[in-house]
Amino acid sequence: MYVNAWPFDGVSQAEGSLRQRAIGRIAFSAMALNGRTRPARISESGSMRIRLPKCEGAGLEAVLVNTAGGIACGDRFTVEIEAQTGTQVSLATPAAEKVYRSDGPLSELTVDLTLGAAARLDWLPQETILFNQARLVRRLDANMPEDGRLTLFEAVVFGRKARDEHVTEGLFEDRWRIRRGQRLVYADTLRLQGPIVDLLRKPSVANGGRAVATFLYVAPDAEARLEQARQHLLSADGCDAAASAWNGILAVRFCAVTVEALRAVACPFLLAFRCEPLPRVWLS
Amino acid sequence: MSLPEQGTTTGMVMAEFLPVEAQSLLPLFAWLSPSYPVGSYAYSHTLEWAVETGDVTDEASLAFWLTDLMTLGAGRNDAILLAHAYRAVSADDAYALNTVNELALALSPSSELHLETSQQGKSFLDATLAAWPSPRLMPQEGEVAFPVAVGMAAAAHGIPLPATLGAFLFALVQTLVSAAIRSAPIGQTAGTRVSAALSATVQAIAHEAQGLSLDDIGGCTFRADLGSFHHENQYTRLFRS
Repeated sequence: MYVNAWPFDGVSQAEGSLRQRAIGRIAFSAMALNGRTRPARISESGSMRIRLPKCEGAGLEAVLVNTAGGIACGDRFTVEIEAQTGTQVSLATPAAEKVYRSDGPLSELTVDLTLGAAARLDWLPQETILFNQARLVRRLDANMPEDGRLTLFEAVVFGRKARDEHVTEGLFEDRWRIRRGQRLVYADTLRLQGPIVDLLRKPSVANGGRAVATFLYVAPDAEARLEQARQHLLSADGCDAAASAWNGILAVRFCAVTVEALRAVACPFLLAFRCEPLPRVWLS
Repeated sequence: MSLPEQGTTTGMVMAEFLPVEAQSLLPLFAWLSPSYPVGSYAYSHTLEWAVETGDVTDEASLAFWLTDLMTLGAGRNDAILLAHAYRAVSADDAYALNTVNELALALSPSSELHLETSQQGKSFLDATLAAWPSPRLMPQEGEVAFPVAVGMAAAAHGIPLPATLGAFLFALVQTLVSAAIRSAPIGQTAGTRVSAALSATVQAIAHEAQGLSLDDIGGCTFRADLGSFHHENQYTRLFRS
């Protein structure tokens, strides 16, 4: 379902304004019914689809599919997820999201996550791959109550090492804002702009790595689980990874030379920390 | 001990003879000096881990590391936060001040960096309220981030914003150079050279930050921040961050 050629190769600048842009929106809400999580409302438009494979547990495992086959310049995607009171929802994507090169316009991806009382929401998309000259601005906003449990994991790769791709020019902005009980508790804006390959070489940025990931767990027991999280990272080999916890937040950062090395540490960590299997689409 | 009260003849005469700029910049020298009871000497802003892991080993690598911190990391972001806190107090806008402070605290990427900004912010505000009171400098409920506290105090005392930004950033550079001298094989002279070399970068960031919005906050010192996660478990350490 993903194209491997540059989608807009050979299209001249003059035609730029006439090119078709993908616009997609998903709005999904889940409700609790007799102790199980059930879909309450689904709205799909454009190239975004949501699939709900049958699963045995009390929670709901949803899969987000972008039928546009990647993100090209000027594309705009919006994802709105609501996990109502007492629900358990996890979201994943069936493959890595590829962001193709842009000759100027930004691609935008907006994610809004809302949790009801005692709800649990796990946002676990597979990694985003930035091609050379890609320009992506991503926004993730979460609103949760004090007793909610939110898990986020996002990995990004700058060019594929196997193909010796380098992002010599590009923009990646990833802006996270988490509000808990109406208060902003976590804010982070990762922004790499310009010659990203040169930035990544800096020891303070990635020390030559090209894959980075952030894991967050915001929940009442976040700080209590710090030592446990550290135990799951002890075998981190070939991937720089460590955990920290404060104010009801547990954060883990991963930095590796390749996404394979990153996955080799992040997947066992996610498996052990969440005490449940990875989303099934991750393995297919 | 008796102190001259504000508005006494002595105070007014002194004020008349001082050039305006010198008079208004003086508090910065006190507030951002290592002797101000803020405890900056206890923090290395992840530098101690960078030394441990071999990222900072000498004068050149220290200068690169500090330049990245200023241009791609906390230096630039703190300058933007300071400027917005300054303007909020100048405009008597409590809502805007609360918004910038909440954001500044939420931007801490780790436990130790949260402690670094919130502990210094509180100590700075307490010390300044006690020694440099102003009707425009209000105590804050809860935590206050360090750059926000400095911006509040500077605005309350009418100290020009550009000078405040430059002084704040350069104080951060000097704090970290001092930390490097204590933890890495970098001598006094080399450290002093690094500070001097960073002054142009500091001025450029201080200038740029004045025109930036809160949405411009962002950076990519991902691995330096990850270092503060590791630092929590560093075997021997002199610093709290």
